[in-house]
Amino acid sequence: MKIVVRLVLLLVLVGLGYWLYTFFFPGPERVIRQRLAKLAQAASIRPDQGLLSRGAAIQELAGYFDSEIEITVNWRGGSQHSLAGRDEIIETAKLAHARFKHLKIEFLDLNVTLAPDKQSAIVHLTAKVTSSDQSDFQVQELKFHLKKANGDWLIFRIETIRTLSHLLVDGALVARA
Amino acid sequence: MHMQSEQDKHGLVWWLRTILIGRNPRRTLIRIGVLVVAAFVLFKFVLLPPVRITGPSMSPTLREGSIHLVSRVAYLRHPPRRGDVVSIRLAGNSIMYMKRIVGEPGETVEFVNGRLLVNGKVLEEPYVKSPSRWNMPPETLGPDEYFVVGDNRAMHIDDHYLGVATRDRIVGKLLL
Repeated sequence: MKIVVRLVLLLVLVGLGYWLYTFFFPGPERVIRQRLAKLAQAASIRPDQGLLSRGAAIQELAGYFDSEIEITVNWRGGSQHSLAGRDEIIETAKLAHARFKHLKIEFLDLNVTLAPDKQSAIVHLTAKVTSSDQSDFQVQELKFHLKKANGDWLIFRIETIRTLSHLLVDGALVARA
Repeated sequence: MHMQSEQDKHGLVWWLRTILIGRNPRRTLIRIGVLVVAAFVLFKFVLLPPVRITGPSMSPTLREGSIHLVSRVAYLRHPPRRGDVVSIRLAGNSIMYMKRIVGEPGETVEFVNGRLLVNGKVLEEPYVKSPSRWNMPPETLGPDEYFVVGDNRAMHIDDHYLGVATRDRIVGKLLL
């Protein structure tokens, strides 16, 4: 019985040690997940946010992106939105803050694929957006391309993925790619 | 001593203990363990965790806010079939689309004045309760593709998410 108890204790200790190690020295996948969670938080707009806090959030948001960032989003219904560079992201964030009192962005089901050299990664996820002017939430599959620069994981490209490969443009269905 | 024991046996503490952990704690623990394992196996391999419907695209078949069960094992023996209401995953299973399969691999699907044509023939759709004027050019499906659409055709086609789902995106069939 003593041996069993010791074995269980040993297993618990090993598990605890592993957890502590990954907590203090997280691997790149965990770092990327944490970073994207913080990005979602920075991109969200809380109704109780003051002007200063909003300004800080917008500046923080820009820090998650590479200076050469490209964002191409094909929304449901066919509209396409493209952004290039941090300045455009800041402008878009300012517009969003002016338009929405509340905007909640969540990144769900993150699938992280690291390059063999662990210097770049692709993250496939579902973005869920809940805003104050819509009762229903919006969802969109996205692909984030990240690269490691000066120890930080920066996003350099974001593109949309069509769940159902069919596109509506101005009310007319067009052939899929 | 005996009297005291009897009093304890029928006291509030005894009843609470009996309700919470049963008369035989060891047996209760085994029951809980079996239930946890059964629930894990059930929701990991057989069913998806209960899904709540958001949005009107499957109305009136699936009401907004209603909760349903989806089978993961429905397509182990046969491929998805026309008429099945299926769950279509996005990046994962946290949020899924619930749609009805109307076109199977290799078929050509189109909408003409609200009527759904499969390989040029009108498909009877008793589940569609509201007429529409939808038009969509013919779409020929690949070997691993299914055409899915919601039952609510009263919506404008621009507001309705429909299209082609590959087999790997179909995670299960609606049970209840």
